[in-house]
Amino acid sequence: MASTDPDGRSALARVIEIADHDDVYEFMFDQGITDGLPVSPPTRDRVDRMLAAAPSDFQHPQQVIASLPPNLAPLTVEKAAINAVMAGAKPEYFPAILAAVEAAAGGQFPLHGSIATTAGLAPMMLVNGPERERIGMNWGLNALGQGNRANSTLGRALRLMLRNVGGAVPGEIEQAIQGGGHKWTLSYAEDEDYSPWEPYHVEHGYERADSVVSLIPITGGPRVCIDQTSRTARALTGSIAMAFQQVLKPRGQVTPTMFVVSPEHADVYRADGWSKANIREAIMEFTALPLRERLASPTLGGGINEYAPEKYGLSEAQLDMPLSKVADPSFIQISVAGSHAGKWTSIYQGIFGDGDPTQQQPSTFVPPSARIRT
Amino acid sequence: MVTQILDPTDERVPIKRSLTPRPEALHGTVALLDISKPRGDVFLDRLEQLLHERAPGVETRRYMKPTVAKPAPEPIKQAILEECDFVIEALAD
Amino acid sequence: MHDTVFFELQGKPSVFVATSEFIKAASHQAERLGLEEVRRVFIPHPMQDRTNAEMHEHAERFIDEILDTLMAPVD
Repeated sequence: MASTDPDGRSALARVIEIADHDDVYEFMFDQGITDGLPVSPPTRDRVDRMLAAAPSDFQHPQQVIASLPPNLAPLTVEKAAINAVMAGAKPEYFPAILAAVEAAAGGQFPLHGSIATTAGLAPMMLVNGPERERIGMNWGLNALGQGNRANSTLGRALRLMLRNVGGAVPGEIEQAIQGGGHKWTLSYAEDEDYSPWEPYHVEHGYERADSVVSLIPITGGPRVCIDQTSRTARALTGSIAMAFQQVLKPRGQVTPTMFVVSPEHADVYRADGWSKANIREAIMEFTALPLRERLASPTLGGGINEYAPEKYGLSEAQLDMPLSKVADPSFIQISVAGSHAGKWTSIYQGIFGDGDPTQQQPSTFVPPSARIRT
Repeated sequence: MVTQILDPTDERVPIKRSLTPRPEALHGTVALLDISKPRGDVFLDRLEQLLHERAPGVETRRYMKPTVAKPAPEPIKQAILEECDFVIEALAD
Repeated sequence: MHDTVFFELQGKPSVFVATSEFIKAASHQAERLGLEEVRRVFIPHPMQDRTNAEMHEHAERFIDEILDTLMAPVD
């Protein structure tokens, strides 16, 4: 069934013929290859235009970029292009889409578990650097909502690849308990110019001129902290920390979480000269509870497993040890996006992180990321 | 007019594989692989005791995946292949 | 599941244990991995809110089924 292109560069993918009395969109729904919304038909022309925009490292359509779970299926540049077309992406987004695939499937991101376990983790994608401007991404008003084509299709393209190539079909191998909007797509760019801090990718070791896709594994969001009255960085962080304390279950701990700070909240931090390290330190302080208050309680519900004191042989002194909402300050990830009219910070949380409470040196979180090559 | 689209799916047909023949009885060492879901360790603790009662002389070795989110890393797989004769993997919920 | 199939293909008789919520997911995954008959045992769901005593009880109830499933002769 393989077909070759006259000029030798294109597709080995099977050609599917849709009769003229069939509706193309309905046909694709019937084939089970959509995410529940209509997809753009991946015609040869569209796929070729996508392939033509591949970066120089990915010139061969049959080159394997990644092995996609749950079936650990090889994703070729060609299959990536087909699914990117279906997601509605423009060819110029293709380098960013391939970087997102590399970040997701490179081994650092828990891609297999995000599909095959019930947690319903999905990658939240943050794009930094000049490429976000070149492809017209939105970091302003409604940056995490609908409406912008690049923001909307980057995440969707990856999701379609996971479904169509990896075999992640809800109810079959995919097991998310409830899912959420983030399971379709959740991509945004950072307002690097307005941020009081260095851009997110620079914080994580890239050059300012690099363009980078970074991923945070989240179970949902936004949990919005709207605080229009705090005038100091400390008061504002207290407010955000109390909102954060409630995520998942108030007594439990959580894995890395993204805080998206709006420009007006960023102003408060700028005015007081607060660094991200100051914010992390304050959140650790404000959410700290003695370990015994993070244990599952008969009246206040779940927390660290009730058997932990026995299992780890915890002393009374250890039970008084303060334990914050996250095991390590690096779990608090911060970026800036949104309109300039609103004092607003959104929390996109990870999954429960109630590990061994005696662990002295919890791991440091480094967001899975990849450079966008053009 | 007929519309042609390209197949977005993984077109490989899985190769059929078969199970390893079973010996008459358990012998040697059984790997107990904890996939590292909460509470799985408690189940495996008891299972290990019971296994010793059912099959005296058979040894057990415990292994733990660092995360439930990925297939076991290569060093753990190699250790099990070298050190064990059977594998019990638990416990997915 | 990937691990169990891996060990099976490497010549180690294997079985995996999961809760009953995963019967369908397991059979899809086994089929995709080309080993539909991969040996598996399902215990009642859920497990994460079980007490230690209840978890031990499950182990006692299922030990024989787990060993029988692991060792049943291959056709």
